[in-house]
Amino acid sequence: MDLTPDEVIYFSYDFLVLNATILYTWIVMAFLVVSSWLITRKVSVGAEITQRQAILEVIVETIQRQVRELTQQDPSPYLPLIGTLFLYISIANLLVVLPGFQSPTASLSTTAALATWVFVSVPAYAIAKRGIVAYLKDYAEPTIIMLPLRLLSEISRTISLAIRLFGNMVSNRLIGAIFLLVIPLIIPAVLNMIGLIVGQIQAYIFAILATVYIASATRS
Amino acid sequence: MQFDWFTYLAQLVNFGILILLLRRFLYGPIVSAMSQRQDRISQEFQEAEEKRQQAQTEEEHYREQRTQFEREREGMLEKARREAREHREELEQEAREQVQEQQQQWRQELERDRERFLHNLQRHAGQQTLRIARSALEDLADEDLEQRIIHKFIQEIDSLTEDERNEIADKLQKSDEPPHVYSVFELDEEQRRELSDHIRDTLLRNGRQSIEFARAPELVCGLELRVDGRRVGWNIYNYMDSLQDRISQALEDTEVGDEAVGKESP
Repeated sequence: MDLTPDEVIYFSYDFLVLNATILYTWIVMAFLVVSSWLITRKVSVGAEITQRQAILEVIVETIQRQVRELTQQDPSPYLPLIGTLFLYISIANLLVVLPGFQSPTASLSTTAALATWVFVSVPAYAIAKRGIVAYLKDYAEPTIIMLPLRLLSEISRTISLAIRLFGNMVSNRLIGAIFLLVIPLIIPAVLNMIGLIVGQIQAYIFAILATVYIASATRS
Repeated sequence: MQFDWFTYLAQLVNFGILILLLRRFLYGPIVSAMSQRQDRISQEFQEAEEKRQQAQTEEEHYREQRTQFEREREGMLEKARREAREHREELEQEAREQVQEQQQQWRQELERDRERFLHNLQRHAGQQTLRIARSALEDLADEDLEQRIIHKFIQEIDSLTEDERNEIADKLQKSDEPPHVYSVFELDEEQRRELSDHIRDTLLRNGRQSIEFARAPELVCGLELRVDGRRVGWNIYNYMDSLQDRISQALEDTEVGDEAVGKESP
């Protein structure tokens, strides 16, 4: 079996490759965008709202609240990044219930790309909020000796973000595959359920950690 | 385990696109809808608060107005009561005055009635007395009575004081008309001469003046010399006057007694 959906290649031309990771990412994207569009094209600002809109509002409101609690700031600038991280990972991990669906989060390329987004966004937000000088000064606090350590921690936490998600999702697949070989009845289904929960927890952890990084960087 | 750089870059781009798309189709509309709803709700709350305050102001206004109305009503009632009381007192006073006036009228009427009655009584008594006296005198009338009357008349003239005689004499002298002697009965020649002589002797200063004789049935019984409003003589009226006085006195006494009785009983 394939450990990562990167290896499942449907189409390739020169260096262009269409593998399972990209394909299923598109599916998740399409699912998110189309369902959002369907609901929000008839958005109601009154007291009477549809059930679907209420669900979306609850989700958005919850993300906003979490971000606000962690950053102690207005969540609106961070909402697109944090919300999309959570929704993308969450839906990608949820859709594995569909037969044949391979979660793109089980690919190190995907998790690295997500971690890269966080890695780039944190200083971007910090500079936008506090200015480049104040942000850079932070690396030399309390002394200049801390600079290498701080740089190291920036890189290592980004790598850990990517590896944590990837590892969890791969281990799920791996454990599921092993149990499928040993005890093919009942236990794999239970493990799959646990895998769903783990997927949601990982989505939450990824988003929360990103928020924490942003919060610590944007707070003076 | 492999790391595919192309997939990595593709995923970077994919995620960026997803962020943009979700911002366009999810966060934007939902957040704006929520904030608009919040604005609307807070606006409605504000409006409700304004309306509540307005209602409160109006309520206070109406309450104040009502209090004022009640005060005014109380004042008007009090005024009406006072006016009614005053009116009642006025009416009572008027009624009292009317009653008094009526009493006064009754009293006056009573007085008039009494006077009328007295007058009538007097007249009747007089007439009656006259009738009796007349019939009595007619029955009794003879020359002897006439002679006595003449003598009485002469006595009356004689009993006049000196001043009275002078006064009568002055009047007779000034008067153009001759003195008249009135009598009920017809005087004969001798009697006339006797009377004339006596009057001439006592009252007249120039003895040649003649004396006229006339009859006067109202005298009933008697003789009278009339000189310019002054009367001298004797007749039965004198007695009737005193009778009338006595009757009046008797009536008044009775009335006083009645009033005393009326005061005792409520």
